[in-house]
Amino acid sequence: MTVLELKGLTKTFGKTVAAQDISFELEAGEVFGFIGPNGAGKSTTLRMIIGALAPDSGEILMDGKTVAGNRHYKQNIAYVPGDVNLWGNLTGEEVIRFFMEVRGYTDTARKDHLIAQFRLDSKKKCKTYSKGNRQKVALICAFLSDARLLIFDEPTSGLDPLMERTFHEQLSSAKAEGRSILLSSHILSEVEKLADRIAIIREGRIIETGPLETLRHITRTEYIVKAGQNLAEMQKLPYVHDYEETGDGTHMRIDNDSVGEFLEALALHQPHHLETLPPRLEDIFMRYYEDGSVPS
Amino acid sequence: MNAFIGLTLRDVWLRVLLWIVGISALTLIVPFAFEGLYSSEQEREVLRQTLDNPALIAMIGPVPEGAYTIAVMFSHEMLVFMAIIHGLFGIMIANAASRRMEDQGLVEYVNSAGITRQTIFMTQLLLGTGMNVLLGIVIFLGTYLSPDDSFTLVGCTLYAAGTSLFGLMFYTLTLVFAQLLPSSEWTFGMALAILLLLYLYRAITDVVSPEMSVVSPYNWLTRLEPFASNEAVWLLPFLLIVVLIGLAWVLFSRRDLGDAYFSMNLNKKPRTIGSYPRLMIGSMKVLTASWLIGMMLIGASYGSIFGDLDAFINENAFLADSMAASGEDPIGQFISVLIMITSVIGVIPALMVSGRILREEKHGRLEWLESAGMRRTRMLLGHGLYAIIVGFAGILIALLGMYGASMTVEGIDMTAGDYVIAAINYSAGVVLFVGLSMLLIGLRARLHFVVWFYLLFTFFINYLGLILGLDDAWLLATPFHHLAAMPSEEMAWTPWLAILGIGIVLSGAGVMLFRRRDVG
Repeated sequence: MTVLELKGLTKTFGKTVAAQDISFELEAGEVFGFIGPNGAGKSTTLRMIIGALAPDSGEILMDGKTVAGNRHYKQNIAYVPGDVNLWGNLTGEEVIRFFMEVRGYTDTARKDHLIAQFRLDSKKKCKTYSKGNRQKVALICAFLSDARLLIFDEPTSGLDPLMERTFHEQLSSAKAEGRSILLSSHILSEVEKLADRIAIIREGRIIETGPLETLRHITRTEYIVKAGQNLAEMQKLPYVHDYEETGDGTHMRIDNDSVGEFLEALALHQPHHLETLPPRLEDIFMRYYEDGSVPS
Repeated sequence: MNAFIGLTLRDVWLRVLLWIVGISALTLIVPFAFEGLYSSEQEREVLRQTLDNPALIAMIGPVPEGAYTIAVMFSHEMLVFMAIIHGLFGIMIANAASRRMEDQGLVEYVNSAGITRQTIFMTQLLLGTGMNVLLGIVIFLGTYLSPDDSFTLVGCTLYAAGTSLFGLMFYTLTLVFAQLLPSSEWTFGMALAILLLLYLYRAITDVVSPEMSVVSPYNWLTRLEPFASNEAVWLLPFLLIVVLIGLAWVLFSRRDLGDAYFSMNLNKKPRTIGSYPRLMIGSMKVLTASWLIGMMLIGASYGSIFGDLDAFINENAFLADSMAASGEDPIGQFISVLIMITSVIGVIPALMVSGRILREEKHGRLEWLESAGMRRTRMLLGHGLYAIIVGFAGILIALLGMYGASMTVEGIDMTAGDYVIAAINYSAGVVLFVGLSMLLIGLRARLHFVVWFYLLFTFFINYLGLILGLDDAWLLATPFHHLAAMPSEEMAWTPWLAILGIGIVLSGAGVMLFRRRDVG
């Protein structure tokens, strides 16, 4: 079931095109990773979904119905902004209680559990909080809610690794409950670990959408080779990148569409050990950004 | 050190420049206006007579002895009043260059990069001194070059030095508060409170017992008597600045960065805040409470001079006769002026409340709240309604304070009920200003400053227009002019309804626009 669908969303600020023709869908129980560097248009897209920005053109559908003119659709959304300045004179506890009140949640045991899980000192005033602590407050508010769609804008950028793990656990259990998650990030390992499908955004346009597996074909695979002969001349080949000789063998990255040629060339050097590493999101990402064009 | 001064200057130079241009312009147009309006000695003498009454002494200070030349008139009418603005300039910039920088973590950051506390403090002092000296030079040159001969070299020097030292004193006082208090909001609030309380103290004592007034720095300026007796000795009390600088340095050098000598943290049980209005009202508690107290003080201080007003009218047989002949009640007229000025001041807290929603927007909270299902139109309406309530309550409290302080005075036949009606009358103006504020918020966050300009304009037209004798055309552009000048005029419901109606239409338009615009 499609929970959220974006159709050709475009948003410009003056002459800057912040988002252009953004389209994707989000299914129930799916984690959708939305990746791109700072300023690529991730936050603009998310903020159009939550209604802070009005799209210049395009349409947002929730459960198959357009959200324009429907003021109740937000009841199904919980949003965690990239950086939120909380009310300085309220304590974390008071902010969380406020969100519980306005959304009508009464499960204080779950609240206390989440506060403990995220190790938040909720008695302190928000103005004393670091970025990570402010994010924890917003994350707790979101995980407390029963919203069917959770939207996170770079949620872990201020969290320590331990809290990142707590976040991943909470995210997984939300997913297990059948909730949909839209996760924007520039931390690729995170998205790789959590997302079922991803969209890559660059300069306001989505340049690739799909499950991670299908995106991997457009990237390079890393090979570790040990051979009887010197491999040095292979680095002259056009499809060989990042050639490096180390203690455990010779590392090189090969364009996936040239694997056949690569293996033919390699065979001449009498390899006796061949190991491949699965492509990482980083590689997909870097390739798009280095080349400045969409690989075929 | 030079690098840090450069950095600080780049941060504040535009604000400093705007203040200097604004203050100089405001000061320097007046000699020229007077030149045209009061060129003959007789005209000036008539004005001097008009100004020599308790209500106006409370506003601008006692009337000086000796010849009432254009320059004397200028310093009499401008000095005390402009001092408030010089003080405000000092407070705002000092706060920006000290506690605000510290709240943002910048002081700690540059300190970690090897810039010592001495350098930071010296930079703050240099900025304060430099900007006030620059302003002093501009004002000195401007007044000295004005066409009238009565602007003497000594007089111009004293006027410029007096106002600059006044500004610098509040600059250094703010630096002291920046060490004592835990945030830039507290620092600003406290320094502003002192600035206004000293003004009110001077207003009362100038009328009731002029000797006591000397405690207030405003009175030092009055006693300078620039262009008349030129009592330069009254610059000496400003040596207090040296003490304030020493104190600020001692306090700054002995505390942790980000710490304060008074912490305002009251540990309480967590509150449960169930709705946005309650959150909004709670977060503006200190703001509204201090304004309501301030409004009461303003009202009470004006009320406390009504007795002298009465005595003055009785002593001045000529004025009483001429007023009686024209069928006007002189006391009623003075009270009307005071009530209107008080009401214009009462708009300030209302605009602070309505404009506060922009802080929610700027900090990214508005969209977060919205994503949790709260509607922004409701939030804006909440701010608008609360602004009107606060504005009305402030005016009401001020007028009741006025009533309370003047209860024992005979010859004023105004009941508490009359004051309440006057408050209701002028609150239509509050609605109009809040409506304009909401319209601007609906259009674009950045436009909101326009409403403040309009209020400042209204204040000057109504306050100075009285003294400068401005054209009626100017007055027509302010809402308060159209409302009945109670109590000297009867309550008039037609203009009241009209202004109220305009206010409501503006706020409605603001809410509609706000629903559609991008936030954040």
